[in-house]
Amino acid sequence: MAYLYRFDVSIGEKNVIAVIYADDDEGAFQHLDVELEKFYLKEPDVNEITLREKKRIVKKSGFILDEDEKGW
Amino acid sequence: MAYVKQWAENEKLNKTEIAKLEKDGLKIIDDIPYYAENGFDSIPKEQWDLFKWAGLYLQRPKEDGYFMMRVNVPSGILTKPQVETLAGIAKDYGRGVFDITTRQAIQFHWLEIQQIPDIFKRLEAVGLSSAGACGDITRTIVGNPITGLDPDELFDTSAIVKEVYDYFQRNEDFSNLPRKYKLSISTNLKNASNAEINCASFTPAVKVIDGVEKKGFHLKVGGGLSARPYLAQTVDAFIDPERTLEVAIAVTTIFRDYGYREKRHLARLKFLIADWGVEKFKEKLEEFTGPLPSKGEEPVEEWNAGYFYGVHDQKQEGLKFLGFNVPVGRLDAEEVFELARISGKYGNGEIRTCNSQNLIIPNVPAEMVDELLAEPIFERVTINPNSFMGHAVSCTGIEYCNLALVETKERMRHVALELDNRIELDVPVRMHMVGCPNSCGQRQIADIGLQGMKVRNKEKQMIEAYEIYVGGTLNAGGQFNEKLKGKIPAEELNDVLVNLLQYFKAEKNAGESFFDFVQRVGIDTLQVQLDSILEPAAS
Ligand code: SF4
Repeated sequence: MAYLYRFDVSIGEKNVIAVIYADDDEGAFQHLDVELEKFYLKEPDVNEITLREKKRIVKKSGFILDEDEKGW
Repeated sequence: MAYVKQWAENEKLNKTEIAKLEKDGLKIIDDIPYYAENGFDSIPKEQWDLFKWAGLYLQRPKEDGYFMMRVNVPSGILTKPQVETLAGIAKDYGRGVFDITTRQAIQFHWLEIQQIPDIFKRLEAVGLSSAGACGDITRTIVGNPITGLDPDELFDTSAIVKEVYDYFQRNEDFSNLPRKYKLSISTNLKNASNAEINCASFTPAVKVIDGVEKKGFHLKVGGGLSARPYLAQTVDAFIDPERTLEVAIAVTTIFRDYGYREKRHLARLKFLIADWGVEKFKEKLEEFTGPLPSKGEEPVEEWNAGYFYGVHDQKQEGLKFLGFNVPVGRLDAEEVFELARISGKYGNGEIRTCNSQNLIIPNVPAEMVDELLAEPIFERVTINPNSFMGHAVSCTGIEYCNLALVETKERMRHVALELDNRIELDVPVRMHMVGCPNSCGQRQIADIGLQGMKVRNKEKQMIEAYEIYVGGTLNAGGQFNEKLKGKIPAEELNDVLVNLLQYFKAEKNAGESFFDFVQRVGIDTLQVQLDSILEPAAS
């Protein structure tokens, strides 16, 4: 069973939302590191990563990322 | 009576709707003997979902073939033979697990398909049923657990609940609703049935008609929690108790025929009400019922959240009802047999279940109360639980739910234990813990809601953490709680809550509830307080 994970990533002064596909929570955190390294030219200064929600991946799955209406 | 499925021609129906048109959910009950005979592998995957209409869910991982079963308990009233039958099912088939749900129903786990026919037979023999306990259908009807005994209820609703429940039970005219559908009927003045979070609720009302004061109901529609919570709103109508079934049929027909079926996530009655508003809903309702009198007065007292701890007078002189705490709503089958024996010996054998996941033993003569309370089982299932333990709720959590990000049931128990050891208050504080944003544990209506998440810090240490929500209630129409900023690491949760509650204790007025306190001091003041509590930990 795979899941879609929604993270809050606090990098320096800003907050980034990240969505990761993985089999388990541990794997999701690990893969988030890889994606962060791939995305930023310079290794980002990550303060904290928060796993907020996971959804089962059936045929369709997704998250809405709205700054004001985060639904949490 | 057959009816026309007006939605059948809609080309945009979702897949579940199309499947429901092909085969009515209740029909699965006829197929179960065959599947039981031929084993779990004989059940086609496409049929798995329909088992909900029989009150059966596959536990995860679904392929293992273990079912959860929910049994309807309308208004929470169980007779002695019913209690014994339920205990027997838990013991013989369900690994002894007996859960009371937040809608007064009973839940079993670990059932296998070949056991189901015998379980159905046992349930039927005592007038119980799991049909419609899950699925897109009228679920068990929540009611006043002390109806008929309650000195504070407007009138006895047991016969009305039974009439409405019996009408909808296995009724194929109403077994294809757009989504799950929750009714409550109660005239308990303390809103024991949580009217505002049901799809449709009949609540106590009085109205002077032709110079005579009539007792009846108001109707609230469109409530429901989950990730998009709504509080039910009151329709401008006064309902004569004799017309309860007629109005319930009308409301359910409106939901069936006008409810949304294209998008499953927008199908609950609350979305139709959010679109229409209660005025338009009333117009539609009156097309079925004819003109209804406008609403009257609501003789309500403060919400009791379904808690009835202690020994209380009944309407009937000389009789008492006793409210017990069931820790996290779970009993062992042997305990249930014991409770049935005790209720038979001291009372009339009845047990009543509450939506606070607790239970009541009614009809105990006053002079027998002390002897009853001396029974050893009441050391665990206590009549006067410690305050926090007695008002702690948690979602299923990591044990049966794989969306949980953190532990909930055990942690909630530990938090409550610790708070009871460290702080004493003059009012109860209701705490609800959930393991993700889906909020199955009704986080939104708690005094203090705790929502879990996983956090990894700069040192790459992984911890479980919680956010705190304050000030939820279903008093006076209801209000959802609000989030305070700040993530509390699980290991600091006890200390932070003790500090926050110590502040509450120091600043509160005598008898002031947590909700009233939050209203009075405001969320910003509480945020400042939480920030100062968290500061030393952060530095
Ligand atoms: S609130 Fe989340 S974690 Fe808890 S039972 Fe519901 S889905 Fe699972």
